[in-house]
Amino acid sequence: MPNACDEVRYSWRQPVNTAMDAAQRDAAIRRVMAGEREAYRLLVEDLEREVRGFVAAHASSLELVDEVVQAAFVEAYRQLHTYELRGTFASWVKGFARNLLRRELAQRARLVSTDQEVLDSMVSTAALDDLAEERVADQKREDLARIERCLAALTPRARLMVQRRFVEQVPINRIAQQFKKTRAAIANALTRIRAGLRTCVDASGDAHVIDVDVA
Amino acid sequence: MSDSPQESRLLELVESYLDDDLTDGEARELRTLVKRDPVLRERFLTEVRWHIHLSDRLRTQGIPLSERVDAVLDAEGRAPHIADAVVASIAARSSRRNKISTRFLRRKRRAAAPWWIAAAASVLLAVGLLVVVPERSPAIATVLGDRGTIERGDTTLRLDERAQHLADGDVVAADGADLLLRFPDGTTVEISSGGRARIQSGVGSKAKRLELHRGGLLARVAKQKPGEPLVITTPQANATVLGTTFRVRIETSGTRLVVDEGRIAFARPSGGEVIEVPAGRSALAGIDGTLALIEPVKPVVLAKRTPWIPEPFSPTGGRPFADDSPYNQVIPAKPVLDAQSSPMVNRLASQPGKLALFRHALPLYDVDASTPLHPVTAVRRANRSSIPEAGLRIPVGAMPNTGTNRAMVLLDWSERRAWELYQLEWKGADLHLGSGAFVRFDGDGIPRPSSGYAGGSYLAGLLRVREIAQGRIPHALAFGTKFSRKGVWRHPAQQTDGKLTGEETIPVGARIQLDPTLDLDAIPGLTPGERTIAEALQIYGAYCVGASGEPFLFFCELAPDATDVNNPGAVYSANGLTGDAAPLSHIPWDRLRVLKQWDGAAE
Repeated sequence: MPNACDEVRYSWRQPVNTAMDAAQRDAAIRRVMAGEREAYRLLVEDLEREVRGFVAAHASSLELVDEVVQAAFVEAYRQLHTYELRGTFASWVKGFARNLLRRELAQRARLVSTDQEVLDSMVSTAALDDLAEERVADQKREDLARIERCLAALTPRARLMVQRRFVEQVPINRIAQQFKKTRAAIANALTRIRAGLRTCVDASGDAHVIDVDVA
Repeated sequence: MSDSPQESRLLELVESYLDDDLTDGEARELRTLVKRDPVLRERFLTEVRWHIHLSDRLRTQGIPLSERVDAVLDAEGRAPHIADAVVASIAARSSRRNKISTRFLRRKRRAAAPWWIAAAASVLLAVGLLVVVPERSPAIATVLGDRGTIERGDTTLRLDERAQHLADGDVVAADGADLLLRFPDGTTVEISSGGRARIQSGVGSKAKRLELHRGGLLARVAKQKPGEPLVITTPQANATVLGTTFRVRIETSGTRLVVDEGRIAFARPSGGEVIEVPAGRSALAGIDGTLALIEPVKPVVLAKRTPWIPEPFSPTGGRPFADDSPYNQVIPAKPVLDAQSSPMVNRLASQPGKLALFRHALPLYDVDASTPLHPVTAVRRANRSSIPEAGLRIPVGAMPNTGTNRAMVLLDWSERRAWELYQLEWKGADLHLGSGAFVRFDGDGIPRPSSGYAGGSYLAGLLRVREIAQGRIPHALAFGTKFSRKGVWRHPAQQTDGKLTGEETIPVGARIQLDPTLDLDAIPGLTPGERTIAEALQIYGAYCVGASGEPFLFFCELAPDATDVNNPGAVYSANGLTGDAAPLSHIPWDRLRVLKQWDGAAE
């Protein structure tokens, strides 16, 4: 399997720089209000990463990120007539996302009849607390660029593991089979990769701090 | 990096959790690990969070978000009802319990096209429905809750977790949990469990009407436009609301209104006299046609209720634990109250307190040196060492309660200690336990190691059958609430058991007291059992001992002659305490207060 690393075409999302500024966004909103729906599509594409970053920093699951981000943009469109053109559209959409997220997390936190639900509830409750106290800052635009720099510092085998686990979402049992390791060994390696990437991202993408190899 | 075996195991379980692939046993193991060790808990949460973050940043997407949003908006462009159908469909998927599920994501990616088709099909289905289903009235409000129904004409819809629009004439019934009604102006009304109400747009005016048929509600009403008030009606009264917070409850004696903020115009449905009820006051529209503002109760002399010091604890009488136990100390005359006492009481007392008389009532068994020892086959939790090797003295036929905790208490009079057993299960003659610990009769009432609710003792604060029979409870009571606060606890609790945050939530260990100036003899309809409990709540109060599925549930002894939820035993029934979790509806729960500390001191 290690030999296969060179053949892998890493397919994680690349950072892009196509952001509108606040004035351009308000101009797009004027076009939407004038009936031009295509302009809203552009706004969604422009703001997706920012809103998604905010939601992902507070959500209790990936599935919840998808659903909340989508619902926030739909709700924002429905309420667009109440938006004041003050260059704060991103914050405004995030406000809808925050409310939707809070409601969903609160619902999930209440389900505690099985051990699995207790664990889910624990994750939701922690996320809810973070959301209430704003403990996790909004993820910045350069976040993805930082991650990209940090990924480059990983060994090929660790990069392959990232590809399998975080890009393709392959379950740990299958990764263990592919890498001919125990589940515990893969879990340990993934934890170290996550920790290394976290340290690297926190250090503004300074890849020198990363020290992850997977035997 | 070198992890302990426990940490390594945690990491392995975390990955399976993220895959939504934990077996029941693994889920229990992971839960135990993270519950027992705050460091492991923090690690669990950190790994989950960072997995979500990395995955969200890196994974490949199925249908672009802009296209998904477009699809919903496309539908909205055709007809709002269709868009609602699509959004509801998405919301339904969203609200189902989904863990950090790579399985779900893979399925979603593979099923990207089918989902798209499904969304389109939802639209087409909704279009089809519009052809055959008559247009319903415009929505007046939305209702949130997962236990209840909406009656619309001849149709009854069972609520799930989705928000549902309510139209003119819809009847909502809360069944087992509160329902939240939300009006477009921001007004919210919580219909308490067991409550039923019809929603109406005003006839001939823009007023909104809510007909309360049974139960109670808590309303937080936004400032209303002139001529467009919210009117709450009951068989005995109309409350016209211009913007306030208040509670309405239909009781056996009539309709009680308690105003927390603002003012309410209160009248009988037939018209006539209108009384204004200001904040902090209550009024009663009686079934006998009376309408009266309830005068503040004059203070009574506290000395009237000199605490009764009972005989020593024995199989026939007395109370457990030393006199200086937190459970046995009388609350001082002027205790220092918690700064958030008022919001806490508003939350806690949004429904009457209830008694756990059957499912979660505790069976007590007297044992002594003559009771044969029974070996314990297995203990699932870590404190196996606290169970004697020789086993426990258990009478033949002793059974735990039927509630989720399957608990039982053995009163060992030869050792003068109580064994408190949790998650007890008989497998043939084999005894399996979730955990077990003892508390000494003559100690402070705090078990070491912990045993019962949130580390406290099951016996501490337990309402006994014989106390109801005697009409005196010489100790504080114990209650659980679903509004318990996360992350904090107060003495005598030993750990937290909360899930919620917010100033109105109740820390485990918090001591509450019923206003001691209340003249219980002047409260109409108070049953003998309620009176006994109310008096104990004035003298000793009650401790929050943990989370409960109910808003406000006091823990009681399971009567030996209890047979089912409707027959909790002759003594309870004879004193007006009928049925499992039946509300104590005559006690004025809005007169509770929360102490800052258990002993009433400031620090």
